[in-house]
Amino acid sequence: MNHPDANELLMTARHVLMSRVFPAVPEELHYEIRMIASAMGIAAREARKGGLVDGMERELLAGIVGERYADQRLADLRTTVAADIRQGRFDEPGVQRERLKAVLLETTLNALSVSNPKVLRQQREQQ
Amino acid sequence: MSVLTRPTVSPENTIVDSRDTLEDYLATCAGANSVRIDGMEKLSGGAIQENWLLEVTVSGGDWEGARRWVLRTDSPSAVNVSMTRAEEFAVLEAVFQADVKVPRPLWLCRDRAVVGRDFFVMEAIAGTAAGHRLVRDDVLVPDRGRLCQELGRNLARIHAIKPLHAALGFIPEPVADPAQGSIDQYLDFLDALDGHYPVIEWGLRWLRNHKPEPAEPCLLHRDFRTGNFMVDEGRVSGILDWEFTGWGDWREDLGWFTANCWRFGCLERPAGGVGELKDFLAGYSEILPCSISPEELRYWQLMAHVRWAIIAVQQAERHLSGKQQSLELALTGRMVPELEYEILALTGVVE
Repeated sequence: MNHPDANELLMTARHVLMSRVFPAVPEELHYEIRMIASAMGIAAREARKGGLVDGMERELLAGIVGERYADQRLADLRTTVAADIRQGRFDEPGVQRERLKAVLLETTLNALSVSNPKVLRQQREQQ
Repeated sequence: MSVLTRPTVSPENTIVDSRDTLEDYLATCAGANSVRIDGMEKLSGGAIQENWLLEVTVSGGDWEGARRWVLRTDSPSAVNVSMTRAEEFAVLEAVFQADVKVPRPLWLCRDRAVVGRDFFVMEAIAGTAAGHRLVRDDVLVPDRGRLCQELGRNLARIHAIKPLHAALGFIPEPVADPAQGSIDQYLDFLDALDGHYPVIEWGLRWLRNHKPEPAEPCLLHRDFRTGNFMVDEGRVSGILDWEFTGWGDWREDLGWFTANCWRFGCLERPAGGVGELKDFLAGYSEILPCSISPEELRYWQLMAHVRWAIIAVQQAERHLSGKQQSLELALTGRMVPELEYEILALTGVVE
């Protein structure tokens, strides 16, 4: 086990970037520095829990496609669910549609916790 | 750095290297004895087009004196350009004549002997287009109501242009059902992507199942949003970026302008983060009658988020393909969950 792990390394490096480097670089590079910090933050969170988030999405999607497709890989499950939505399989009000809605929301919130947890916090405060 | 090695002429230099031919061209167009270019500066932004600020001194003719002009041309690396410079110039002329606040278009040059590429020249406008500043800085926008009314009047003047317009024949003819046209186009875009996106599919299915009655087609800007207009001393000094212009349903522009994703974090102000929707619509109504229900607005805001989500995936793929390595494009790809969340909120999935 690497110690510190990828998440700790990236977050420490990000802290140095923003606290020490950012104030010292010319203003025209601030946007770039912010983008670099943002990319490091996403990569750090993904290193920490990206596998878990993907695993959860796979489980959730597998739960709504029926047994025939339940063993598919995540990318294939996304393809199956997207095609089912397009073909109207979830158009009718009912249990299936409600389950899909819950799954789409949960996978999106999980993805946001990696890509942009700030938005997630703001959305939760608004509710 | 060695002074002996001469760098290969980068495409970027072609405008600078063309100073003499450009001066002659400008003098002819301006009916002047001579035009001297005192300064040339490439303006920031624009991966597809380049904008060069030209500070010139005109001797003789109607333009006598010091002038600030902008030369707009395709970037050398441009691919998949949605509109040629000649077409964009025609759009700019048409909307300028319709009293839309835009940089005044001056001359179109298709003679490659001048700078090596097609270009046009327009008057420079003052101000800033920076969205994150315009939504927060009250010094830049001291009267938000007035700015929103002005924006509303400008969008209405664009929408007052109806097909078919003699000078805009290159724009594809309007379709009978613009919402369905967009849905079909976005499904095609989705199918061309590497992965599949259940939430975007969900959004498109919802749009298909809740389509409004089509409105009479009119000219759309199709990228009318904070960041694409300049503000100087609190007033609109010019609407920019006309390359997506087309015929369609006026509510599409309104949905794009008011969508959460274009409020630059200032969600409490529906009019592009800069102000109130009622002020914007009041300005709009001075030019064209308009009424839009909350449901209609929500429909077109959903259309906006679906469109932006697909563009975000396309931009990420562009980076990944190696065609254009860019951290900005890569990060845009990671905005997709945020846009998907908006899609779910607008379709009632988020309680």
